[in-house]
Amino acid sequence: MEKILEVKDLELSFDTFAGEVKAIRGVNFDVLKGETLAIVGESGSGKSVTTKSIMRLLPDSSTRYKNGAINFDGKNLLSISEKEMQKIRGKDISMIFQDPMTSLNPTMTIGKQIMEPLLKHRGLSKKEARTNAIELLTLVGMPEPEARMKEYPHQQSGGQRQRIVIAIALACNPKLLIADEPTTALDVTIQAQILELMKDLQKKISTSIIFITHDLGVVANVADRVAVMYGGQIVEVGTVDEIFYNPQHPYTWGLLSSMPSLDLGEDKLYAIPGTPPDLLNPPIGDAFALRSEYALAIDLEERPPLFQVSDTHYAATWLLHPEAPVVTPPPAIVERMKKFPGSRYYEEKHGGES
Amino acid sequence: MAKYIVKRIAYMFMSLFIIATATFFLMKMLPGSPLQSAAKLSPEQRAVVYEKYGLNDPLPTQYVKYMGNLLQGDFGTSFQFKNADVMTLILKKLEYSMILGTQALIVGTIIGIVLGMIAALKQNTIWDYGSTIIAILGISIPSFVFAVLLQYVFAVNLEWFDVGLWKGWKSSVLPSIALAIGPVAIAARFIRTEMIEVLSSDYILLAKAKGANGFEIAFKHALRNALIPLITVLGPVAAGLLTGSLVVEQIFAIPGIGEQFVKSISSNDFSVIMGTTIFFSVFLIVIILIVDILYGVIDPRIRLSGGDK
Repeated sequence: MEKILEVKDLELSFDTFAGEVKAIRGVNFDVLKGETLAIVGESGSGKSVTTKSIMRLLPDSSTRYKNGAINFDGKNLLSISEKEMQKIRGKDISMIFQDPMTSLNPTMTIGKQIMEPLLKHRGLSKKEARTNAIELLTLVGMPEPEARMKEYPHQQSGGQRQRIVIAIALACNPKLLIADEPTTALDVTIQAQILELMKDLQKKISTSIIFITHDLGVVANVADRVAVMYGGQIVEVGTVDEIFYNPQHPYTWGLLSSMPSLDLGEDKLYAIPGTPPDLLNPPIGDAFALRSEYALAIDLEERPPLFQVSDTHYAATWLLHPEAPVVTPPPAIVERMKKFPGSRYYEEKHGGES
Repeated sequence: MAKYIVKRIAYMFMSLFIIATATFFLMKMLPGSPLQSAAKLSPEQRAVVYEKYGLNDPLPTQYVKYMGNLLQGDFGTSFQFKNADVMTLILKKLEYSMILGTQALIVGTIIGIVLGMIAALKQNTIWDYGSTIIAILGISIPSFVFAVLLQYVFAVNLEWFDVGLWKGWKSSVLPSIALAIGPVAIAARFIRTEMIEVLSSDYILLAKAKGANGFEIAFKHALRNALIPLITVLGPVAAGLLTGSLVVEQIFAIPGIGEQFVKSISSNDFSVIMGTTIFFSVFLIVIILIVDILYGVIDPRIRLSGGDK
């Protein structure tokens, strides 16, 4: 499969009054053509920063790109000029933001906001852009698209606004769409509608999508592959099945265990103990070690490399080292692994049982 | 919207009635009379004049009479100038003040907005500090200091303008500049603060993500959203400017309304005091109405709620 985006050894810091915050500490991942890659992790793990750095939307004054490359379309996005970047933004890469209530300009009509990228990047005439914008509104399922063109954002509901934001993002048929928690600010029924819409759209226009979320339920629903981020690093990456049914990193175990489940019937919902690492003084070894009951001595001294589990599955934990002791994951994880062919707990279903 | 404006105009007349009443009684409480300085009059002559102008009537009678005339659009005649109709007098003087005020307001606001935008876009650079210093100077130094300075440099030393003489539009340049310093400072300060806030909002980030360049972000997306608080403060500033500034008019010897107002108070010229006060009030109230309508033009959210009422 063709790679559309390649993030290589990305290291990024913010200068703050308290000192240098090492927000991204060596991140590597690819996005393949037509796939949906989900990036999951808790608040402050660096998922939003990673994607904003792809679009170079972080404030210039305080952001320092220390290392690495972001290769897109044969160019390193970190080394091109701002002017060239402006030609890519909204055209080849576009973004859907978290809060539709604040991400539309309150004093501009919806029509104008959708037409803006069309006029700018595709060189359409005003009339063509208008027709196109109405088509986009129809595509994202807005009722009465023509009447909407003259309306303002405050006249729309949250779900409708997010549809408009999606229409803007899709205006120029981008090669890569970044969705930064697009459903977090919406209520549950609207969330389902927007997810359904995004899945639908992907089938229609075959864009690659980076989907940032902290909601694992959403991930299972939309993604092809999943990258788990923690403390400014990717700790595990694999296909949806591999991450959900054969997770290797203790942090992924924690995340999956803290998902409510109907099967297990436990009364208490698991929560990962402790707090996220302080990225002003990031830990030397595995960033998750201090919160992990499976931490080894080496976790505190040396950062684990990404160990290969399968062709598509990698995890950065010393537990995968050949000399590491064998540990038993939490019961919820063992239950999951039983369903995954190739995991060490796999139980083959025998015929004849009822 | 039409219903809303009609309602506002009704309120406007109510406010005017209250203002006229309050001014009338306050003015009558002032010591002295219009004829105080005319020492040559004998007590008999004085009594005749008082009788003629109805100044001997009890206050309530005078009040009812004045308000009755006012309703018919009659502001009375001046005590100070021989048989001068107050309305004509005010309109003549107001013209000068309006020329100065309008020029100062338009030029001052535009320069202020530009300075404020530069400061916000180049935050914490030499541009920002320069614009902030201008704003602080403009707010803290009274306009008459600038007026004297301008007159000294451009009229006395360079002789580009006449000193203390009204000779058509050219004479309005220096006083307009002196008056414009205020709006420059206010606009620069408000636009800077508001722009900085707007520029960090999500919809500006989205505009950037659409590929908009710096110019488009500043003018198409940010400016309109940053204008709202400025309009609020500019309303009263506009009223003050258009109704004339006493001190600046004195310095440049402009026969404007500001100067006239003070003269009429010191000479107890009752009908001119009343007339000028009512004029100023109408001005302020109309400008506030315009500001409210402008809100709706700039911000569609306000437009809608205004129409619903």
